[in-house]
Amino acid sequence: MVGACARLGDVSQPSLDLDFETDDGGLPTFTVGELVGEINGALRRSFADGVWVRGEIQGWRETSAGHAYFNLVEDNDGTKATLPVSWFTNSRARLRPVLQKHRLRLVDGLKVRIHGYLDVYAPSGRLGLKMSGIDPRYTLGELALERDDVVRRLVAAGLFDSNRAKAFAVVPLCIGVVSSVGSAAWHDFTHELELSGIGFDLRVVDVRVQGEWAVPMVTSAIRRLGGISGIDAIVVIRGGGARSDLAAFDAEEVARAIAASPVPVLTGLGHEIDRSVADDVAHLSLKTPTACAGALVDRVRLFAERSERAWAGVARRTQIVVDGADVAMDRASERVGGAARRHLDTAAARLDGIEGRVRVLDPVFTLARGWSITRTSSGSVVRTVADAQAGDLLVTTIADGIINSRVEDP
Amino acid sequence: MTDRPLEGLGYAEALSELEAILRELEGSAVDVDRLTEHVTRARALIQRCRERVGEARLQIQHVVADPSDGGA
Repeated sequence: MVGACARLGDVSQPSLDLDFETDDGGLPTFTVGELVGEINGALRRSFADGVWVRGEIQGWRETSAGHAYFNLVEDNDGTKATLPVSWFTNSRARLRPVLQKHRLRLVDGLKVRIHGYLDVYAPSGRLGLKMSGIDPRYTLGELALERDDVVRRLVAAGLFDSNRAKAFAVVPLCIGVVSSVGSAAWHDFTHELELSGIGFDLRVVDVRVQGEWAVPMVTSAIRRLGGISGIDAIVVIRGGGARSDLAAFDAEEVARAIAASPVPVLTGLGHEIDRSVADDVAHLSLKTPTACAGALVDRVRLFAERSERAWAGVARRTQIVVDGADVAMDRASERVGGAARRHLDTAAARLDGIEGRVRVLDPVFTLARGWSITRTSSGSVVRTVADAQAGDLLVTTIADGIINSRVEDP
Repeated sequence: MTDRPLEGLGYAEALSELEAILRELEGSAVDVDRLTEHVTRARALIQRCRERVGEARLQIQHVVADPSDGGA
């Protein structure tokens, strides 16, 4: 800085008639604006190619004109260093393709390595960095490292596979849903379930899936749903977005909540490529909310199909048994019918015999053959000669009538 | 003793009564005065038994032809 000022030999020095002399050592005096200009000139010369600096984004804000401002912060065990960063619209537009290619979106908490030019903003006198570039691989690497750290801690705590060990209901119909209700992810998920025609029972907790509240809300929602009796599974869904927006699902708190859930957790976080820690510890990880719903539908349908097949098998086997029984019954029926008919024939024959015997004993037939019955006038049957005395009146019954007679000489 | 009405009399009961009448008719002590009424009763019983046999034959034909009907 001194060297820079030494070149200002022609800066005007107003001469005043004062009683004392100021020993300024011949140094020039600047106006503030001049000095800031000199400083910025010196910065441009010292960092002619700009500067790369890394740190964590904090205090992110955007203006309606499309400019973004944030602080780049380094916090080493309480020793904090902060550099204000300005990221103007034209630079943002230029860097947008790079960020999109790597599915990054700058948000608070993200670790970045950015390029820019140092500059003192005259109105505030603050030194800052005008951002002109970014190294997306650094951010992705940092995210991966953080993610790996979380995974290592989960494995060490025996939590990494906990949720996968939970038994998945054969017919998962009562589903806890962690989602931002009304989002595209929510609509995709519920639409897919509705299309199935299956009567799913949803218990929904509306959460933020990105931003500073995402981690506590998602964590709390998973724990709350896990405590509800009768829930078969919990699904955690969100739509697509930047890789950096998945930060909440790389958080250790969320992963631990999933691991501790008493029921299986399914994730559908809307990313075709990236996997979050939540995906890693979930019972089942699907790429999209639609796929998540599809997995539930498929499981219920699989059960239904197996049941149908089982029933068809039961019906087939039952039919075989019934057919066999039919044949047996036909035979039994023939035997019963035959036996019954034989019994009836025997009964009829027996009745014929009895009728013949009765016919023989019937006095009508006996009289018809010429026999008669003779009674005394008192009506008693004359069985012997002694039953009739001379002069008695006898009544003789024959087939076609009665003959009265009197005994002359018995 | 008054004869039981034939209506509602089962085959076995009718046959049993018929056998008793036969035993009496074929015995030596048959009362000629009661012969006619015995024979008349015997004929009625035989008729009743024939009806029961005929009904049973029809029912059996029905049941054997369609076991699911149960004969009802």
